[in-house]
Amino acid sequence: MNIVLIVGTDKGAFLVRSDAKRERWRIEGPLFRGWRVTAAARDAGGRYFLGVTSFVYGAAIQMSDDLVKWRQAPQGPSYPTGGTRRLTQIWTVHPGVSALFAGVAEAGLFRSDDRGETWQPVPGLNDHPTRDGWMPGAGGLCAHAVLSDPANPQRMWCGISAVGVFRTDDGGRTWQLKNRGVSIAIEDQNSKDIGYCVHALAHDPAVPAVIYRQDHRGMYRTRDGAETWERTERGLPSGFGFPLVREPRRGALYAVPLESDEFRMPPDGALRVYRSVDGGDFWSPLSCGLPAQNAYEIVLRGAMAVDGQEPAGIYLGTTAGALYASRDGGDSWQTLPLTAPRIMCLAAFTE
Amino acid sequence: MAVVTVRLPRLLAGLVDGAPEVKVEADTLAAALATLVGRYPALGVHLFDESGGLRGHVLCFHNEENSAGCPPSTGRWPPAT
Repeated sequence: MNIVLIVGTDKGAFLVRSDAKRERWRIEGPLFRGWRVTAAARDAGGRYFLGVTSFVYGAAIQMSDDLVKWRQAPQGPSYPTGGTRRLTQIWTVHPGVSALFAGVAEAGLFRSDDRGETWQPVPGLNDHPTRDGWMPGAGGLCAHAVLSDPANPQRMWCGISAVGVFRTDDGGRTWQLKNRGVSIAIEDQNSKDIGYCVHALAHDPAVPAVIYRQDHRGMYRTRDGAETWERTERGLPSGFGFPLVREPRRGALYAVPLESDEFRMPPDGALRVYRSVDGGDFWSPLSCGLPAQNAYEIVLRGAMAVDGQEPAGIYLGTTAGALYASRDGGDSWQTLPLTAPRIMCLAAFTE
Repeated sequence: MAVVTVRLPRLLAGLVDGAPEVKVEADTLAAALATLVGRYPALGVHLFDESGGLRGHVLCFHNEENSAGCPPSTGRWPPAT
């Protein structure tokens, strides 16, 4: 068993490989040199997907069955010709229960029922009755987080910034905003249901109704499938941050809080990961091996990953291009031998 | 019909099997682009946006002359190269 990290950056993707010990790492790449790589995923059949984009040439999904030969999705996500919407970035590719889903900017959700060959819009969300009031956050108007309920294929969640969390209970036909208890980020004059700036979502697929949410306005948790949200910030230096991941073996949560939405830097110039081992009730800092001073790089929402091994491998990439890895659940960290362009996304897989 | 040599930016080379240049037969810019995309469909989304026209930062040069002012559907090539 080996570990492969896909590190998506502003100028291409890198493959970072190690054996099960995770002590020594080998760098390969860049793939898609010059393209911004913004999403990485693998479906249950082992097919890999990358979201690639260029300011000049637009966005597409690339697919590979072996991480060597890649081909572009023949009919990727796209908005209608002649319309006003522009597809600028693939934010996430989510292997759902019965289909693949891609969250994109300008905010929308697309599904593929043939392992990424063709993609169709999800009109119940893309043309939601509140759509005219959707406002972008600093990262643009983007659908960046998708969760599924393995026991109930009709139920899914989608996070859109700066709109909020939506839930469908009918397989994507209709979507309801589910943000009760969350502080609003942008007041809309016409709808009190939108204007919530979700940054990241995580859950245990075996207990899907318990969802953790890194939001612009704080760290939250729901225990009832997003009907109501509560703050879970004890121990955090700030409720603001972007990435949030959950490792599956022990259920620990990992976040990287920043000093307020105004400054968006590591508090005190020290890059620290915070871990909760009790479902968000309390968070503790992890700093051994991470830069303790003069560190002003941040971790974008898609740039932290777990490998599902025991003990847990935790990985994060920064806007300064540094790549950090822990092979003991976050207790200690090593710097991997790669100084990359700005790291946009990170995913970890066993192979 | 004119044989036109299309040189693509290196960023797009992976979409045309890595070839530095592609030859197409066409008498107009629109026909050349249509032939090119017909041969390499993955190029389409990267050359054209949802307006149906060329992406805003995609420029076409013919014999080093910017074709921006040449209506793609009607403009005919100068003497073929």
